[in-house]
Amino acid sequence: MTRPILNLVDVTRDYGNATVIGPVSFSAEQGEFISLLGPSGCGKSTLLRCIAGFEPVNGGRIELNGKDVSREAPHRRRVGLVFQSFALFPHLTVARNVAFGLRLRRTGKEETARRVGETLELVGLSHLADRYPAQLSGGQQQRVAIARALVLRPEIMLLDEPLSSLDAKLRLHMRRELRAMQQDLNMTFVHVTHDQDEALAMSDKIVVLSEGRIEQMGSPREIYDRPDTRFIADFIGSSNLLEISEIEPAGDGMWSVRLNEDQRIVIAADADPRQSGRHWLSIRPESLSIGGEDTVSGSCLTGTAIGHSYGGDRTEIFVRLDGAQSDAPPIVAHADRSFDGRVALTITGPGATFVRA
Amino acid sequence: MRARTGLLFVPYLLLLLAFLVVPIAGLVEISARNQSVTSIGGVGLTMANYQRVFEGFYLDIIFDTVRLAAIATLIGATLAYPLAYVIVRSQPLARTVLTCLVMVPLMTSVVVKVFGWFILLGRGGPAVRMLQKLGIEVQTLLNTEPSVVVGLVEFALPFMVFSLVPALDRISPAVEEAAANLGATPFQTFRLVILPLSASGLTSGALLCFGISSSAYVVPAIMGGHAVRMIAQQIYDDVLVAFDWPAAAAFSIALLVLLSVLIFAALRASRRATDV
Amino acid sequence: MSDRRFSPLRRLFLVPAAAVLCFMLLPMTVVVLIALGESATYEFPPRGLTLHWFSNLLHAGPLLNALFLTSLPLALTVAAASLVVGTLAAVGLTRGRFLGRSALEVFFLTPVVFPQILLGVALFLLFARANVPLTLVTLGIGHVVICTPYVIRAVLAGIGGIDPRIEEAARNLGAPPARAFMMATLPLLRSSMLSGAVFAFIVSFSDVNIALFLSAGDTTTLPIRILAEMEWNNDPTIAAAATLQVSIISVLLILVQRFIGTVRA
Ligand SMILES: Nc1ncnc2c1ncn2[C@@H]1O[C@H](COP(=O)(O)OP(=O)(O)OP(=O)(O)O)[C@@H](O)[C@H]1O
Ligand SMILES: [Mg+2]
Repeated sequence: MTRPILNLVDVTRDYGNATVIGPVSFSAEQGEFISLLGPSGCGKSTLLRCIAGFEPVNGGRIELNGKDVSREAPHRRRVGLVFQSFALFPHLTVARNVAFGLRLRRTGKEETARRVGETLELVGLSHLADRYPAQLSGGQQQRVAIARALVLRPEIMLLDEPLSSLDAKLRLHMRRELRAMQQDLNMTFVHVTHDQDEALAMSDKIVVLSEGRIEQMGSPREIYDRPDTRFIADFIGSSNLLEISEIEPAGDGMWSVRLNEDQRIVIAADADPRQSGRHWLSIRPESLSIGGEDTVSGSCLTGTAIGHSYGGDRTEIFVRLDGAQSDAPPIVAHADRSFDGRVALTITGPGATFVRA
Repeated sequence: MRARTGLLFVPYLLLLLAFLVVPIAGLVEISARNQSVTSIGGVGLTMANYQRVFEGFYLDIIFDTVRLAAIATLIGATLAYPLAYVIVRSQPLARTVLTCLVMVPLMTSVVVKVFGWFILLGRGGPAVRMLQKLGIEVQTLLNTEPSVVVGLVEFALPFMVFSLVPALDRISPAVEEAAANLGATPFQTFRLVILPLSASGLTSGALLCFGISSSAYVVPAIMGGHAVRMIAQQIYDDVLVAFDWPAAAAFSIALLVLLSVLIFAALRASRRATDV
Repeated sequence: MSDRRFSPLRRLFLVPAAAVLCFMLLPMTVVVLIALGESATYEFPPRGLTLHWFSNLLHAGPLLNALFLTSLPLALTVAAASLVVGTLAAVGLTRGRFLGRSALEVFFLTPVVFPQILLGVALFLLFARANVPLTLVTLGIGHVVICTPYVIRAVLAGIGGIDPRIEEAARNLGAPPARAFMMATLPLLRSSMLSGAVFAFIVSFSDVNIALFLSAGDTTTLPIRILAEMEWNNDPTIAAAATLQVSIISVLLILVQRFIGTVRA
């Protein structure tokens, strides 16, 4: 395995006596696209600002290319940062914004012109080189911000919710463009987002943060299919979360799960969920297949359909499980038509997992 | 309703016409009269007063005034930047306290400030005694050009600070961070980002400071003594001591024209700068 | 270091800024210390602390008269007059839709930047030629000219911050336009008007440039009296009077800041 280009070891950050980060440890390989994902206020921006050097770390260390940069001033770290607000220099043209860093590095006139030209080409803004930031659309400004950081060929690029201020359509488009650009350049991107779709679609690795700590880290598929905790299952995609009252082995990697007096179901799992303290069941709505009570036999959950909501390509059915507590939220299952009355739910996909509380 | 409420400004308009426009028109008129012992307003019509303004004695005063005011403005701008910047980038409470601390000298009568300088720098004052202890024999630090500049700078500083604050306020901290992220040292950030982005505040502050300094009376009169003569002192003496009102009027108009030309030039320049 | 905001420049500027602030406050501080010192001359640094010079002020006729019979009543009257004239002008400016509105606004604010000394000369010559004797009235007129723009500016800013829908709501509830303004908008302008009036008071209270020409004999203002006496009478009582002046201004500024919000120059 190669040495990681970015390595965070037990990084913490406090404000007074409130710890907002950590300890957090993760690393990024050369060419990886990593997303820091988490709800608002969980410390994503703070972590990114720690890496860029705008926030001092109170503990642990940040290594760039094997070198500890924790105490290095921001202007000495070779880290490109794309601000959420873009933070373009309003008094400079697009070309001079992009040339700013080169100018500070005393790059020659010709080389500056060449590299600025190349980079603007790359982000598709060559024709706007002489415009001022105020004369650009949001999407164009964002490309300038990316070009301004890229032109210095930093070791890693940090992007703080780069797509959040774009409209929905442009956001989808820029998602693909940004990912393609990162792959072409084989650069390491650390990307902050609170949009799980974005993280799932773009990343090689997702680091899910909650209240300043890493909740789970892995490939998008791992995170989605094998959530560790209720928080992850609920935060990434949507999920039905059911508390288990008893688990018994059923042989062949199957486990017999009792939810209450009336509900018993068999779920597959590689390891004994009891040993890892996983006493909750997470079931994706699309992994629940719904049918009339009489059409199903064997391992299933039973209940009453109490409503539905039409969603275009599918219909969401709300089911009150037999024996469920009255204040428990109804189970959601996807179907292609609406149901009424008594129903049975069977598990059809990979989307049923044991999770920790 | 519209028509009637629109007339609410008329009292102040009349006030300004009667007590700003008319007096200045009067000034222009007197400036074109010959001095006369029989008529206080002067008699006849002449350009002689303006000719006098551009002769040796008066011209020297104009040059000295412009020079001292320009130096004071330059120093004032330099000193005001750090303070204005710290005010803008402080937490709310510190910002309020600092604002008040600048506000008090801004609104305090210049007489009180000059009084303080008079004690500090004057005969037998602490500054003189300190120098004497160091073996430098001086009677007073007053009555020199540098002492006038000190007074002018101190007088103009709060105005400069409050001109810079709104301009600096408009600069997003993220822009400064972006500069650092691209490799700029703090001073490079200042020179390449903060200075150009606060140019408008600097221009208006500099104009204000220059206007205040070049028309200052109390500071040069007390801190300059007989060694320094600025336009306002000459006007005062011509009006109240020599009773040469036409000369004073011509000199006043000259100062007004000088300042107006300067303001228009600066406005043109800054407009061109923002037009690009 | 728990300051969230990254600003190395702020840290670099901290010491110079403090030095500049001290420089700005230095002369005023000296005057205050002289007023509190025991020495009977301008001795600095002062020895001992006493309020003697302030009680002495009670026997210093000219200074006392300048403060209580001239400067204070003058500044109060000027503040009141500026408040009325300035509020009317500001409301007129924002209500009226007419050609040259913005030019008029610029014109209304010119006294702030107009060289005061020239206004003083011009008014002096005007009154002299018209044979108008110099009284508190003539001085007051000069002060109202330079003080009203502060009220206008504060009220304009206040009006700018008011949601026009509030007044529309009042009209919608049946109030005629003038009443709607009086009932809905004017109360919201109270703090702007008050801070404008305080500034008008202070500007009048500390003015020298106009008073230099327009105050005479028994209408000598406190700043002019201090100016006339400080060089010739080596007497801390003058410093006590100056200190009183600074204190009144400081207290007003702090009150505005505390109860009305951000002070604006
Ligand atoms: N100056 C401060 N003092 C104390 N706590 C702070 C300070 N600044 C931020 N915080 C706290 O730090 C936490 C992390 O903030 P951060 O901006 O990193 O969140 P975020 O994950 O980027 O959220 P968002 O998605 O809303 O941008 C928040 O809970 C916030 O309340
Ligand atoms: Mg954030």
